[in-house]
Amino acid sequence: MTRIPARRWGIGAAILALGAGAMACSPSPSNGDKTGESAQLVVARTADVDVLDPARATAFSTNQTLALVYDRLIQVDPDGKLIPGLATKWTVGDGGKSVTLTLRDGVKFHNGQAFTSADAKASLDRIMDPKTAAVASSYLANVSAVDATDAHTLKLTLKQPDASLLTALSLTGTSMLSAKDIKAGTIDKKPDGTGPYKWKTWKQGQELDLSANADYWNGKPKNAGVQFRVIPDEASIVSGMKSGSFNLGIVSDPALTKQLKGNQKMTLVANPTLDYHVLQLNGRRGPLKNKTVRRAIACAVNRSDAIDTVYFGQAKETGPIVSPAYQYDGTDGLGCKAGDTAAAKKMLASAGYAKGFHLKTIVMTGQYSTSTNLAQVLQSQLGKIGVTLDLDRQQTNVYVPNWSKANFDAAVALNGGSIDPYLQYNRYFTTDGSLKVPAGLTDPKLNSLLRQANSTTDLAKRKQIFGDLSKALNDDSPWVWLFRNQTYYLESKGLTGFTATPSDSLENLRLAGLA
Amino acid sequence: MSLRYLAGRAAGMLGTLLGVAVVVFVVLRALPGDTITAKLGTQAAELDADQRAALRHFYGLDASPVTQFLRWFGGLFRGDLGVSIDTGVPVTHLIGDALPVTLELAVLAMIIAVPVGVLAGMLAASRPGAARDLSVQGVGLLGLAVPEFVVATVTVAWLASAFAYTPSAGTFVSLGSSFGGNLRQMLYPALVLGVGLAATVMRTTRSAYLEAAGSDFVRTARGKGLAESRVRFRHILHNAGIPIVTMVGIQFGYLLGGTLVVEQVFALPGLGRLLLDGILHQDYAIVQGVTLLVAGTFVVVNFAVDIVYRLLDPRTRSEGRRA
Repeated sequence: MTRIPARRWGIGAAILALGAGAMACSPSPSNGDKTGESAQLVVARTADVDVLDPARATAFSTNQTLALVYDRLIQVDPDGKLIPGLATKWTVGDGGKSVTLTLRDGVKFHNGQAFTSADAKASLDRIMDPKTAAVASSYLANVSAVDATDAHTLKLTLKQPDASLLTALSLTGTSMLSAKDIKAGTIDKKPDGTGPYKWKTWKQGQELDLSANADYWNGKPKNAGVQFRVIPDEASIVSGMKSGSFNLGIVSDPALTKQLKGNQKMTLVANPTLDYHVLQLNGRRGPLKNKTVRRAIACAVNRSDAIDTVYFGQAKETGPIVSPAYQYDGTDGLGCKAGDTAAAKKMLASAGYAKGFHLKTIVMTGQYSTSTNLAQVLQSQLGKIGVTLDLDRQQTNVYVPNWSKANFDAAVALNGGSIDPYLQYNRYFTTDGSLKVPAGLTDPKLNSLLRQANSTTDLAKRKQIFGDLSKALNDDSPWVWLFRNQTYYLESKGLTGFTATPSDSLENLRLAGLA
Repeated sequence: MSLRYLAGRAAGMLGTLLGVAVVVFVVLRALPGDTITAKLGTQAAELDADQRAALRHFYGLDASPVTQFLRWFGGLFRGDLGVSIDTGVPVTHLIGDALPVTLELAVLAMIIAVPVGVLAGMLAASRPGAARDLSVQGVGLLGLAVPEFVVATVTVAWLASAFAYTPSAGTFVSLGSSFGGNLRQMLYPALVLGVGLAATVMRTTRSAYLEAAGSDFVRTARGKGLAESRVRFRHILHNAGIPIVTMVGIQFGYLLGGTLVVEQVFALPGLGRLLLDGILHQDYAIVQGVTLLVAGTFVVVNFAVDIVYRLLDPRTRSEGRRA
């Protein structure tokens, strides 16, 4: 082999150097240097809006966004209390079988048209029309007629009393649309609501621009607009926050937040949401048919240890009820201290399962980051009382059909909660609930408590009934309740006035500004 | 290159694409769940029969698979790839927006990888077993072994902490709207892709170069007293060209379908992300359209590589004439 003079390699070295040189140059981001009410807020999140029609919105990011453009008749305050939205007041009459709402005067759609009861009626009728294929239609299942009695009064006639209807009227799915847009068929093309922000431009999969609605009935937003950027990788969102490119970053992976300890450029806010982590048991199968066995499992699970491992010690334990409006001792009715292995072992032995058993456990992957971690923690905790979880990790599309047919002994699940405990559980534990199969068991007591709660709007009565429900759920232990899910908000140093809500809505963005 | 040869190749290409179209269509439908479960997750279980039927109709899932296939396949001949279930945007538009991004990324990565890879390969091959060979090979192995997502994530994190810069943070600027702005966003992802690719090119170059360097004609060329640089580039590298071109061609095809990870980390709106979103939402038309496009590119690139062979190596030309 002949020798090659070293200088020949100069070209190669030059090219390598060029690459290295390019890496070193560091253009600084220009994120707009405006402050106060002329500032535009830049929000980074992993997912984009997927549909523009609120009635068909299910994805979290879609609900979150459309709720900024559209208003609902009723709103929810941070304590889970219903407060006026586009309806200034409402009265329940005819023994609970009618609801009359007074609509706010002087509200305008972004297209300049006034909001009247005709719009409200058209919006609700549209949801109930099967042709709309509205996911929200089940919320209005008890409504038999919607009448606009005058320009600012709307009357809903019900088939039977339905206290949860008022909460349903606060969800993005029941947003108020313009009757004109409905007629023109433009709902899923260009959002046009009465909300604090107007829909400006949308580059699908990349970014969405909303501009402040100066005429907003509840006060002009304290910023000029919001830009949502889609950054699919959560680690890249954290990097972007470090470089000061975003004012607000929304992430869900607890592991990422460990990197942020002591970072001066942002504040980390961990926000417990209404969604809750739970180990669902199938009470129609094998040893799980026995209530003592289910309770033994519930007693053996140590929530705070699980939180330490899965959420690095930062999460909120929960019992059956997640609503901030109805708070109870989450272990009341369980009959043991959670995490008491010895008591759990005794209970198993008394039920005749001292040697333990195996449970086919399904775990959803790909949808949220903590599922596998949590499943492994539960596996090791229940291993101590001889209950072996055989983990079967499944992609969403495999998991969903198995879950809905209750093709499992146990399921590690992240379920959606509600400020109204009836809405949280009626699908599972009433006799005609749409999810009574994956619920794992039917219990007449749960059914009757839920029905009682929904037949009255009296707050004191409901508080008492839901307290009984919480106790009854623990007593029966169809599932093991663990802790609330968490969303992390990364707020840049200059961001002021933003607060997260339990429903993870971004409605307070209108109060946020840049100092 | 006879007409007959070209016609034969063209027919083969169409056959391959038809096969791909059918396989993708069938596999997508054979996957568990459908658009509705993909969109709603466990909420899908809450739908009553009427709601489910309404949604199936809305998403066009109530037609029989054969009808769906014929509808889609017929559209192909009119240049219509269907519309996205989610947004109703024609798939051709979505691809039209995404393809230039991925194409540019692939070309930039190639511009980085080919010169670096070829020169590094020649450097390594110049003295096999020597320190320079071992160090080039060592670096190359590292380039191959470290997964793209690690390099990409570390690059993003490092740029943010060292230079307070995040290439993916801003609005994506297309090449047409701002050349410099676009290049600034594309540089780092292209480098990440280029580094891994350069390692592959380097290894191929090294072995092809070594093989060619041992040939008689090389000794003859040196014996004739040709300048060393001429021997190296004109005689050895030229003869080592075929495996290198093949490798670069295949890699280019991979790049078009495979810049997914880099696009994801750097938030670039390319084909890979379009495809991933399509799969996650089970948006059939998008997945079918993009897969067909990627398969088509592979077929065309392979064809182009064959043509380049014929230009590089006269021996492969005569085969075509004989056929």
